[in-house]
Amino acid sequence: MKKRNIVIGSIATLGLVASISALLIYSQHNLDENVNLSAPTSKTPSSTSTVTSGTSQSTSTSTPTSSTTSSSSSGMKNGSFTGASENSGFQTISVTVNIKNGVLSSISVNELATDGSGTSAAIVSQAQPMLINEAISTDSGYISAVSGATYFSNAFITSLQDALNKASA
Amino acid sequence: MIRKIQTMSMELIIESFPELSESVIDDINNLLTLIDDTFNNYNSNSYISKLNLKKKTIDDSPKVFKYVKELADEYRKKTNGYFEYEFNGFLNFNGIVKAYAISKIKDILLTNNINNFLINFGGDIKTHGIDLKVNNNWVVGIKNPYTKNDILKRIKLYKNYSISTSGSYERGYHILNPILKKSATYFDSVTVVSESIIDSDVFATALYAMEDNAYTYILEKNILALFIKNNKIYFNSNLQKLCNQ
Repeated sequence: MKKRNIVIGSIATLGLVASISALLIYSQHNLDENVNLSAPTSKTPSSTSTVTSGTSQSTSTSTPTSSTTSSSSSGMKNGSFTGASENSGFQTISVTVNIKNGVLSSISVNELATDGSGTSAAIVSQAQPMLINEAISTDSGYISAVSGATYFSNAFITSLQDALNKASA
Repeated sequence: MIRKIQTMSMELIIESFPELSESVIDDINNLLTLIDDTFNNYNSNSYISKLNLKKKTIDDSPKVFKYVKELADEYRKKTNGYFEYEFNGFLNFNGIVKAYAISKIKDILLTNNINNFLINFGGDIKTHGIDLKVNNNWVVGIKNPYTKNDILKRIKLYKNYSISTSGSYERGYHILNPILKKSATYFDSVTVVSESIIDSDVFATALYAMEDNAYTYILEKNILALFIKNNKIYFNSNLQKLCNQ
């Protein structure tokens, strides 16, 4: 089995994404699990400019408040930090990080899109019963690959980086 | 047999029989560079960035841009506006570009007489032929949206099927219901199986955005879909036939 990595496109952007992708994957899965996640500053890219420069759809609309208590050996200040609002082109989000004892303890996405309403109970009651339904259960048989929602939002990454920069400032 | 290419902030994995030659990889890299230069909203030098900043006009658009935009217009119409690429005057084709790339890579492989392959680009998958490791159909697992690594269903992909999943679990609520102008939150994930990778990718996103309207849509359009919501799975009987028992 031969594996090979080929890098094209914006090296700087990909480098940034690669350096924090593992952090994001782990963090995203653990948002609701209250798992402490170490985020040493050496893994934190020094600038967001490679992601945000020229990004016409990224609009910093606010700088939400942050609270700090004390610095730690990791260089991250304790407290809650919210990155600038970023528009991905389809919605606006901001990312809040919580730092405890100099360690990144949680990440949350704040959704800033306008709200609406409109579920149609009548339609659901007609169509849903026509589908097979079953409780979820794990299948451990042979697979060639996995299909899942694995696409990263650059708006998410940009706002996260902004929040981490504030924690490290 | 497995090649990994980092591009467009994602990993492209191609498993093929026979293995990809250097010239095929060059062709794929040239394609990806063209797509990145045209559609990357996060690259200030891309055509779309310049277009959104009014530094370019639609008349300056490269051929690939015109083609993808026409394709996106078709799907916007097909999905009654639930597939959208324009928001607040800005264009963003991320909802279809990945599938377009996979479709073109498939063409490159077939032109080079590579007939058994699986292309996995950020969780969107196109298969062709069979998995020669096991001398059987390609089998793709659908990820459990509630856990890290579990597989909920295995789908046997004959007829060169494609499979795509849209969900909120990897990056928070990220798919907009363009009709209601709010984030779609009804489903935990939506998977679509189709012979066309563009169909499966665009419909997975559009069905997620449709929220509860998606049930009638798949029945009307005969789309093979699997919805996960509140720890339950809903799917058409036609899709059941593809599930490994």
